[in-house]
Amino acid sequence: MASPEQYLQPEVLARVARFDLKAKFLIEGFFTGLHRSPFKGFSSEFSEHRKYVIGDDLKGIDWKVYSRTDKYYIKRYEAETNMECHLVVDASASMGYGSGAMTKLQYATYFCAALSFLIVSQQDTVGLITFDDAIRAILPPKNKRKHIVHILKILNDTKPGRQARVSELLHKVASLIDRRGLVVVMSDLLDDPDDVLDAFAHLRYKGHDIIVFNILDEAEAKFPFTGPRRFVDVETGEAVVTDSGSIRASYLEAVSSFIERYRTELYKHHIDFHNVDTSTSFDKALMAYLLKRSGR
Amino acid sequence: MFDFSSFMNPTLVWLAVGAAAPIIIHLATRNRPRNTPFPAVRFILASHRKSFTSFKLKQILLLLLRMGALALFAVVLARPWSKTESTDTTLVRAKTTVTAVFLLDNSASMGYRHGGKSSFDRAKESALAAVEAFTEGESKVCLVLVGDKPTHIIRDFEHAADMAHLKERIKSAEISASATDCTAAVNEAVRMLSGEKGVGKSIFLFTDLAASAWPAPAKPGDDADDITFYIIDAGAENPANAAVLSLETPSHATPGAEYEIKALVDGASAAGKQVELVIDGERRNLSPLKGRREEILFPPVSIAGTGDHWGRVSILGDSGLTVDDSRYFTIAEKPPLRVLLVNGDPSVNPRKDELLYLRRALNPPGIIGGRHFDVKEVRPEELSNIEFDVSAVMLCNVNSLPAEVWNKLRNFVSSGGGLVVTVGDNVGSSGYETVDRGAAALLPCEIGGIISPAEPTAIEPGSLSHPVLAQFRGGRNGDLAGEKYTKYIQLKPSKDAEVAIAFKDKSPALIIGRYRTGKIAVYASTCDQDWNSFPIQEGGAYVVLMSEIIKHLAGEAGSRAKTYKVAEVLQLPKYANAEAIERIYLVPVAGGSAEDVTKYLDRRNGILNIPPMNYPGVFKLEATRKDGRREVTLFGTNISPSESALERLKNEDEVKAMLPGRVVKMAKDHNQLLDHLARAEIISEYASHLAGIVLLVLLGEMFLSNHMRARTETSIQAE
Repeated sequence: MASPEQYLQPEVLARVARFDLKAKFLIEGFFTGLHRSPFKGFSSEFSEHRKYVIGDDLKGIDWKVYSRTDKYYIKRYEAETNMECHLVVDASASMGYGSGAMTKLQYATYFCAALSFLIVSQQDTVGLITFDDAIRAILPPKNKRKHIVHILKILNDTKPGRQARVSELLHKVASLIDRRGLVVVMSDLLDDPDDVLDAFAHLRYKGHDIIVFNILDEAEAKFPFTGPRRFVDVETGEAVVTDSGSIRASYLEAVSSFIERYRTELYKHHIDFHNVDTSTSFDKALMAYLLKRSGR
Repeated sequence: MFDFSSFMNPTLVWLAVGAAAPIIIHLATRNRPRNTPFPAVRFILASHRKSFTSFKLKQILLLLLRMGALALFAVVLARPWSKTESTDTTLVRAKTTVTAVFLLDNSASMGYRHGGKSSFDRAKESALAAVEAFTEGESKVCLVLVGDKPTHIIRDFEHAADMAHLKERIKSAEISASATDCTAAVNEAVRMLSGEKGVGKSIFLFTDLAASAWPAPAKPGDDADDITFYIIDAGAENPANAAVLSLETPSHATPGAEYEIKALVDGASAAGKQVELVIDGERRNLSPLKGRREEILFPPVSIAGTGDHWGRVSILGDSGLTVDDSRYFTIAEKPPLRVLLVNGDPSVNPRKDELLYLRRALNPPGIIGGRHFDVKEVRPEELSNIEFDVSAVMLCNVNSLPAEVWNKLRNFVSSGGGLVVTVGDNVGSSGYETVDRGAAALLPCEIGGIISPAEPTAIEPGSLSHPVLAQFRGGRNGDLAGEKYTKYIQLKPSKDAEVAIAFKDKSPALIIGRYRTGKIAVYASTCDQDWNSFPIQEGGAYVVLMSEIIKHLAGEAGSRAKTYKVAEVLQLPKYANAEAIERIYLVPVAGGSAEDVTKYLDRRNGILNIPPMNYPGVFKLEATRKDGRREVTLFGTNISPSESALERLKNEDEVKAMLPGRVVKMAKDHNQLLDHLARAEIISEYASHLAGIVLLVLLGEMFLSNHMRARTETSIQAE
């Protein structure tokens, strides 16, 4: 069995570390003093500077540093960085599918590794929730590097095999997480979209910043099959005999509609939706997302 | 609408079973679906519901298109046709353009009448109807009459485009009494069409399908010929023809002699009718017909009076084909046969004379009206000094002859004379050594020793098949087997000799052979009663046998055939001193105008070369010389017996067997013929339309299969 450390690829982590992954929305208890005082109500000890990027609040600019360097830097406070990030990973049977070198779950684990590192690096806490037809594992958010390994170990040891109830479990996750934070959901979302969107709305209603990584296998995304096939659902066992070539076009159309629906509906709730398939290397996918997010 | 029996190539319709090939290929090569675990089956289900049905329909449509293309292709090859139901006759019977030869059978058998018309009338009607179906100005038709050899009426295609002229020639064509040779006519028509480049090359044969008209199949077809044969049956389905098929008559008559006349008659459908024998215009016999084929032997008739005689045997009453109801013959007058009897054992006692019985047999007393034989008697030693100005010489018990006499006899027989040798105690093998053996043997057998059987033997008549024995058939003229032979000479026949009669122990009794143009007969016993009791038998068998032997030996020397077949070249007797002939007239004996045929006389060699007669009958040639003398010659003509045999080719297969390698279409009448001609137009329409449909089907198949393939490729490329 592979070790959890395999997911921590140094070159990837080095690249990821340049990014900040921050919650887009005001988090309760954070920045409440920004308008009045950034130092009241919670620990507001200065933590570090970071470079100003477009979109940062101008009030956070350290003018003293500017006067010295002619460059803009933002003060970072401990309270400001004290963001809880919950990695919610679908560990159902469908996530155990992989037509190539890795399964969707393994792909998600790579994502989790990089994200965990990023989050811990920026002094935030990261936790893990895995689910299939029930919550399988909960790791409360922590800020320690060895917590990352713990996260990865759980993910590595997870054996997908049960049917997912994504919508139901997302509702449960919403009820589990009290404090607002960043919720990163990694799932293929192969459930009733109406129910899943409803669950996401619930999570959003709780004030969380949600990022959804919709991970599909390359085969699910491109449907490379030919000839007559008996497709058997890995979760339900439902089977259908059909001619691959004949349904290919409409299948891809259906997948495209599925993805587009999530993208459109989640956008309405200010939820980031990013679709990836396992044919794209995870680091490129993650970099693309982080770049896109940081450019906002 | 489609009549599968009317495909031009009906056997090719079976190729349509090839339409099952796509199904077989599909069943043999289809893949079993592979089990594929997949998470996103929900999308597959939706897609399956959405698109698989239409895909399946397209697949089925593709399969049907492929099967349809194969089936249609087979149908196109089979060249279907159909009749268009329409009151507009120009649509139903479209005119057709042909380059054709009409073969019109005008032989004697086409005169058979059925349904109020003759087969020839029907043939002409069909030919005229066919002409109406041809396009004016574009069609070319030659006309040939089919007889014993083809007769061109419209010979070449340069002058064959005038349909009005063609119709006139058809109407004016006359039936002949000739035999038929359809094989030669067909081969000639093919020759005429070879090299012609016109459209619709065809041969139309209007005939009664008599089997006797096809001596052999025509030359096999060549693919390059591209000739269509139309056989129009103008004959009756089940012809029943009463006919006089053949006659056996004497070619010569000696005044006062009696002769038998035999006729082979087919009395089919003639039961109750009668057949008469007429000689020189006088009825000699009337016999009833039994309604089947039979041989009628008329009672012997005497031919009286000088000059040539004529006769006929006729079936009385109507029959389907009248031209063969009578058959004609002529009999030439002939003087008594001159016979030289050589007495090898003369005796002053007449009762012991060798020729006692023979001379009386050849000149029976009391004959009124003439003698058969003019007999002269000599002794052997006189032979050196006399001329053999006779028809036959009989050596009766002659011991031996000098070589010079044998040479004379050799020359005599070589020139057509007859020699009879009868034996006796004087005859031994040594006397005939020089003439009875070896390559130059005159006699047809070796003369052996005298045989004296312990018990007297007798003649075994056998089947009486030899012509010499004809007068004994039917138990007439005594019993050849009734007499005893106490002695006979052993005869060893040569290779080509005939044993006309044998004894009961199989030893030859009478041997007949040839030497050059003459004949020799050797009788193994005496012509008197020294060795047998034959001469004294009651009933006259001895007289008849001896007379018949001499007549048989002398007969060929003077015989001339005087009855010919219709259209046969006439070989008439030469006229001596033809320069002195003033005029010759040809007169039908049955009545009719005389024709001056003097112009046909070759005066240098006396040969009269008149054209062959085209109808049966008896004809008289009356030649008048400058000194006023008249010479009359009779000859007769009869139709070929084959024309009386109306048995038809049994079915279409037998007709096609006579035209190997040809496209043959049969028609029972001109309506069927016109249907065939119209079919040609309709077939080409259907074949070309169907070919277009096949092309469209194949294009549709290509488009659909490409479309389905492109959809798959596009969706792959999109990813």
